[in-house]
Amino acid sequence: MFSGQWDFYLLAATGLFFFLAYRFDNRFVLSLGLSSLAGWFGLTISHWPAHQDSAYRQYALLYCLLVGIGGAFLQRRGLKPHFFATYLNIVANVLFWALLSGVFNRQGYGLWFLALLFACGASLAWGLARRHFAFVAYAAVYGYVGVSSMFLRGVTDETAVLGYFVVTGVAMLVVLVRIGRRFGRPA
Amino acid sequence: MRLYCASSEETLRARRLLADWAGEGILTKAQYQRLEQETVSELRTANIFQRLVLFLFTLVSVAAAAALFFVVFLSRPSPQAAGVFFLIFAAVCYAAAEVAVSQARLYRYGIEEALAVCSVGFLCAGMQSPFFSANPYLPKPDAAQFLVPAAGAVFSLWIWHRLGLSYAFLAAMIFLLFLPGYRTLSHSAEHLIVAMSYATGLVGIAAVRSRHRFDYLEEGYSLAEALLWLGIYLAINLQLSSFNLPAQWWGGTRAASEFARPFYWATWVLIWCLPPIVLVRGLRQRDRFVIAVGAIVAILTFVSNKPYLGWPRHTWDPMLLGILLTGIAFFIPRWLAGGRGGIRHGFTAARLSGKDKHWMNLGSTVLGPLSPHSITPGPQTSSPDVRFGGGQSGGGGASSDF
Repeated sequence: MFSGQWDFYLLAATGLFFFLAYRFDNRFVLSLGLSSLAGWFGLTISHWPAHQDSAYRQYALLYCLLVGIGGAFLQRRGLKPHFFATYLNIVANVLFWALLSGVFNRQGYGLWFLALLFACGASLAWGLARRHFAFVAYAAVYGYVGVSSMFLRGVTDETAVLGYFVVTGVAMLVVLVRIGRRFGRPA
Repeated sequence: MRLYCASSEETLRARRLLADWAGEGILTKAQYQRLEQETVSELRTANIFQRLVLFLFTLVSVAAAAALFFVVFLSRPSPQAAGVFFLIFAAVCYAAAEVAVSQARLYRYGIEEALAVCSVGFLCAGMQSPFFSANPYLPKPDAAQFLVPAAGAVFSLWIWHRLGLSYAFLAAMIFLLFLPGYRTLSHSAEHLIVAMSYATGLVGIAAVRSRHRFDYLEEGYSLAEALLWLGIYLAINLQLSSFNLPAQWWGGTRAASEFARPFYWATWVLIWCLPPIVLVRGLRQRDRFVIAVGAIVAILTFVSNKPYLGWPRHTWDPMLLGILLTGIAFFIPRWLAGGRGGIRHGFTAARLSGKDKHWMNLGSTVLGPLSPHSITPGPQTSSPDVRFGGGQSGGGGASSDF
């Protein structure tokens, strides 16, 4: 029906998912709707004559802003406030992917790295304050990938690389276990 | 034989049930807190996100440590030497997993699981490397290589039995898939051997689980049975288990040419017979996992019927299937709710437990971010202290507490 017009298909699917999510109070369907909306953003950019990674990144950030503000607005209006966690979850993932893709750039990655560190700090603080370990996990994993890519940039010595992963891997384990112990509930 | 004592696991199960019931409002907060104090376990657990992250970093650390050992101490090891060290790593990892459980009392904590998984990986690498990789003089190297997946299957089953990790059972089933390939050249025989192996396992599980109908082992056996039913179905559905699946489906060629005609059509009959059998078994046992697998294999039968018969596929086929499934999803709850007290044959559409929230949370976390990749084509040329989640169902996954 929408042959060759996948962006319309995605937009229609987004609308349907949102309707079903709010109608049947289902956060799983809401996450599908938000993902379809992200897909629509991406496809719209792919139609542009000279779409580049930087354009994708900027529109991913715009998507995060729109969805985050939308989710917060709906929460404040009391419209299924428990959906806010789903909005935040999707926004966090898209944001971290966008920032990481900037960190992986060959040039001009400094600003993206700072933004990644800031986002990791915010995610960690939010996770600890709200006792949602998912956001602590995002900060740990995305932050680890970003910081590792910076540290290992240009390092070719196998021993140094492997030693780095052993030391930092164990350090991350210790930190995460301590966080879990300090803020977690007992078994 | 099991690493955890029965009372500890039973206590943890009771705590999970309490959380489910409290989450659905069956228990008041005061009742929950009182009962929670009576079900204190010495085992240390983690929520699913913490578990996943700890699993990941343990895996990174162990893999990097093993690689570092080879780089520092063995610059160019022979396959035999590398194999021996892999086997030593396997033993060390397994011992570490046992110690993590027995001393640190870790239970589904990620760390001990990753160590156990690494031990299976190192065992397979250790057996593959010295015995088969660099030995061109073996008379039938392929035939002897079946020892590698066999060892993987046996060790995975041991870990499933010892630690109760359901995905170790799945790993054993996957290892089993590779066994017939080393012993026979017939594709039909391969499918048959795999299906028969799973069926044998199913009989064994069904016999054992009847003794654990209401205890902490029930869920593990239920999942194992569901996986075996799914494995049997996938083994006999030649359209799904063939290697060149996309080419067959979209290129219009059929798998029939690979197989003898009687075998091919016998499997077609079986894929229609199996879903009702699985569904009836699940309904009779009141087993959610088996019912879910029954529904999945029924959908797979609908999906694979046209390729089986060699009929052309249309773009609207998925829409029709979606409409059918939506209709069923609407009809069944209403039909159940229409019974006396909202119950028919012991089934109700009303939510009795928040058990499914856990799976929906995880599912939406994983599928939500991934779904754009699956549905988007390629670029065109042109309570502050005790939380139980919110909402009726589903979730973005971010709502799990510590």
